[in-house]
Amino acid sequence: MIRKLGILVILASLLVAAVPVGDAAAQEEMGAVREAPAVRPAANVPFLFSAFALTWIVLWVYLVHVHRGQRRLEKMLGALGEENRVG
Amino acid sequence: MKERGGFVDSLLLALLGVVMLLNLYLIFYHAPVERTMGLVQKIFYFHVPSAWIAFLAFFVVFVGSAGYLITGREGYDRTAHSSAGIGVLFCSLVLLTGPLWAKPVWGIWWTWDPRLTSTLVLWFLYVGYLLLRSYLPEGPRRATLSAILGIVGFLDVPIVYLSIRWWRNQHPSPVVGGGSGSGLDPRMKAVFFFSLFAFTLLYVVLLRLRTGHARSEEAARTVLEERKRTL
Amino acid sequence: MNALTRIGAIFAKDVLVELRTRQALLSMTIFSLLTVLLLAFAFEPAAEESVLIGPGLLWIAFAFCGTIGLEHTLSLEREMGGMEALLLAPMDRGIIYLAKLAANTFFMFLAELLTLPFFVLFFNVNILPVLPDLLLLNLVGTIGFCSVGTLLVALTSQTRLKGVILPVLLFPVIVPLLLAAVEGTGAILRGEPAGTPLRILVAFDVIFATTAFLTFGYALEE
Repeated sequence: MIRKLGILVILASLLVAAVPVGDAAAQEEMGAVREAPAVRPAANVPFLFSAFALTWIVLWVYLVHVHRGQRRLEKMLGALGEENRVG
Repeated sequence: MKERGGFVDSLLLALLGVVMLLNLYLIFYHAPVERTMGLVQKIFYFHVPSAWIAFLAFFVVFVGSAGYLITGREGYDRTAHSSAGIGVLFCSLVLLTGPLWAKPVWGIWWTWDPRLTSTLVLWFLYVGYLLLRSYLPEGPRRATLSAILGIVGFLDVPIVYLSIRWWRNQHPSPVVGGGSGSGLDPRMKAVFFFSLFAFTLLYVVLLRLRTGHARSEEAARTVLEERKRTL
Repeated sequence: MNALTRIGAIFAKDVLVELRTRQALLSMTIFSLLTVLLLAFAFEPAAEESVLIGPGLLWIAFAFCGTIGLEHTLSLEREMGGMEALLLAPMDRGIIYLAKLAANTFFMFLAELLTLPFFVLFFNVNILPVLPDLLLLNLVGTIGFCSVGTLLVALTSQTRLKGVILPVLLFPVIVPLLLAAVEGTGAILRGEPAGTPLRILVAFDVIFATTAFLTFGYALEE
């Protein structure tokens, strides 16, 4: 329960970080037409991308951790079940 | 059989890691920057897929609930419960990212947009589902009662959405919501659908993890009881 | 004994029991009046504003008093052992639901009727010219409220904090009903047609009463 809360907090704070960047970017002049979308990317995009990518990698590692724990648990339960049947 | 399930899980997990990273790259480097809103529009690629996944999750709650009432098999109840938790998670994300998008673009935190407002009611519905489960002791009774709530809740979803949309028409706001699917640049559309795919994959992985966990809890309980009986 | 007779019998029993003690009815009505009073203090509406915010405040009062009443009929049944007797009788569980629905609607509607004069008093709204329309809308809305409420109270009555969790579950489901009821009441008070809200309410009633009818049996099983 606490872990889920932690994930939520991390995600939320990252999205909050997106706001000042978004504000700054929105105030810049973006003179491009919709049909020719190759506008020069704002200088902050690499930071934005890295923040999101880093968060995702951390989350993903956590998922792998949970998955591995799950495998271990299933093995142990299988062994316990065997014990019951044999013993 | 457990080995095969585990292998699929590992495969999905690995795929998910790559797909989501790719998704982030596409969102920030491939998708064009929107003309009027600028960078902040990119929240759209997280906000809307989260909303679709929340609805998908609650549909799965409905299917699981109905399945449990009809068949009585616990697997359905486990799936419903797991999906509800994930649904609430994604629902919360929608409700957090919505205002974060609205504030810089329209100057106000909340717009009473029908979709966002329905999502809020949805959030309460499924938090209520989880709350009910937490107050009931484990067992078939808990599964039955929450299954009924799961069905009632899901049937309410379209009614809530339609009624809020009707209500909004009675009281139009100065801000026009929407702006998600209207006239999207084809590259934006492509990135959006990829993001949808990535989030769906995330949902599937989370669901499998949670149901696997619930199954293990159930197995542990069975093993303990067998032990008590034989000792 | 056919279905209607059965429903009538259970309904009559519930009404008789209630009329003897009048506990639930009294609590519901007084709570509803108090809510209206508190809201009158909170908003101090002038006559023009009353028509704007009155319907909303009125239905909030009804919603609160409704949750109190719902709780009562079911728990009384359980405490007195009547539930077991009902479950033993060879009839569709849905019939028990319809009877409970009728009883709950009856009590809640009574409480609402008793609240309306105070509403007129505190908010200076003239409801006499539109009374029939208003009462019809109220009835349909109350049926909808009770159709969901009767089912949900069966779900929550065996939990630890049943009084607290019932509103938490009920209110989100009831949002469309409230929207339509408030819009409709407002329209009626302004003298405008209220066809659409009424239709929404009827649709709500039908959908949820049917669902509850089908699933009520599962909720009652011990």
